[in-house]
Amino acid sequence: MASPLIVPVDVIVAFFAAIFVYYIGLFVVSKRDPRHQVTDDHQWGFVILIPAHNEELVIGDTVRRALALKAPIHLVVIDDGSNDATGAIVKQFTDSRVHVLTRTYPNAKQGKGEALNHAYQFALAHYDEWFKELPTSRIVVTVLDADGYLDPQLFDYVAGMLERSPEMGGVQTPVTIQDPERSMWLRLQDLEFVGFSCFVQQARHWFSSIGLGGNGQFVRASALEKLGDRPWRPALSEDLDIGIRLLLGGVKLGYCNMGFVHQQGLTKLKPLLKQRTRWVQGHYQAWKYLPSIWKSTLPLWTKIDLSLYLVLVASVLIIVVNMLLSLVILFGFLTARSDLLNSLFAISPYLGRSVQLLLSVGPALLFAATYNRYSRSRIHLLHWPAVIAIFCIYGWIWIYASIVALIRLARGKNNWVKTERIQLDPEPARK
Amino acid sequence: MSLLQNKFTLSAISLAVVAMSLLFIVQPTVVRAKALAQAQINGDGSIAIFGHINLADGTPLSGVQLAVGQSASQDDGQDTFNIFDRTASGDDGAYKLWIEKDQVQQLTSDTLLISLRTDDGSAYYQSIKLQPHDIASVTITMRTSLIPIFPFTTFVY
Repeated sequence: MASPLIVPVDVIVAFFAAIFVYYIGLFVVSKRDPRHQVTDDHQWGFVILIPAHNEELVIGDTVRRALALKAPIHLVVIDDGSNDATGAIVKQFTDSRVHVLTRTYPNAKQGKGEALNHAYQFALAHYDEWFKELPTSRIVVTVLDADGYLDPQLFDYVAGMLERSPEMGGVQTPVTIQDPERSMWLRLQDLEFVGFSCFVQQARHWFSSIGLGGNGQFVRASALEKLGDRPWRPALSEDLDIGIRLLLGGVKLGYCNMGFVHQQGLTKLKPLLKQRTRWVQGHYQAWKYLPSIWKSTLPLWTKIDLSLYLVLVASVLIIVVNMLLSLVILFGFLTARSDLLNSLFAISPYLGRSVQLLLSVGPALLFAATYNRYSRSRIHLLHWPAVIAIFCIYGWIWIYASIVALIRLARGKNNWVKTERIQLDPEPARK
Repeated sequence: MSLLQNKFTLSAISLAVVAMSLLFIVQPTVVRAKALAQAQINGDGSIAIFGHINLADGTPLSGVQLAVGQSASQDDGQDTFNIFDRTASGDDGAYKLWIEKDQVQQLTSDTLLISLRTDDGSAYYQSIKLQPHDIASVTITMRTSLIPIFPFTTFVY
């Protein structure tokens, strides 16, 4: 039998090592305490925009929870071409703080961004009526998904952040999945969100490269004014898009981890894959901002971190190459050569293999450490090896999402695919 | 509750994952090397067997014990192995074995046997003919793996 071809894999080993070191760096930076404080002055106003398309299963609870908040809020629910009882359910609320906008064909279902723009213009026309004599720098526009709710203390802490940092134009809060104990699917999504938000985003607070999310973004009305009367663009990840444009417009963004925005997770694979495909495609769409980021006056660290955040979505493809290569090597068709790993093996084979294992699951370990620190539904230490292993396999959904997203991009398919909802049982009261 | 939410299932999976991880780390190293040998008959009648031993990825393998000899059948039917020379591969994986002129006269055929012995005691044999351009090749496995395990690779954003 002919000798297997030798394939140098140092590039791949170095790549994974660099990724791990980068995440370790973010993890260390995230430990710095931002010392959030609540507002001393309660002269703030909050407009909560809730886009809704066929949300009859969840919209009632969402509005009810929002109205129970003690913060000075007005809700604008955008019934975006629903053919169920979404609009009717919201109209049953007689509270003067609840406003329903109905979008019908041909303006309906043009994407979340367009729905938010419609609501934004409505709110813009009512600021004076809702928040008497408050300047737009003290009015905060919040985006909340139709299945979500915000921890009540967030409003005071967000206001506190904006009060103490006049240059700050927006704040993102961490996302958590409702009832992660119900299923492993929900637990894994919660691990993604809490692990990511409370670690990577926390670090980005110090680099001023925060990414805004579709849920739980708080932006000063005065900052949104800089983006015109239609601040959200028709992008697949309209949240990522608006966040980058705010940063490029000189608006500083921060991160507040003093509470969560709770949202529903997905319990089936197909809608999860659709959702992630949309996110990946939206991420690739945002690459168009890379030249602007580097031409901007943003600090160097912000430029680097923001660029990495955008570009690293492509690392999935390197992971696919690595996995395929590993399989081929396993069956003896190729032989891998890594001088980097060989140098470790020369010291000790145990060291070499420990490093191999660490490079494979290292980021997941950082997510796990973050999750158990911040989550309200901690995982028992004994179960962590299983959860991490399952999480690693779960992470392969990004492979499918990336491949399909690239195919969709190549075909010019940029239509928005909405995430499906399910009705959850009423959540037990939290102490 | 799904199977993956059951605490006993998770505990069992955790145990399996930890065991596999430890086994992966402590497993004996699998080293596959290839030894090449070429024979050269010198003008003075001596024979040189030379070559090199490399790992599959090209790294030279030093310290492998080599010997060259020839099998011979004795009158009682027992086979013996007459060793003409021994050596160990150098730092560059190269080695050279000699069969002196007076030893050449003891050859009973044009087939020599090269033996390789690794540090775990495994022995390999390969024959080589005393003909131009005959190159003997043998693949050595220094140790055997316990369980082949490939670590997961995950993407995080």
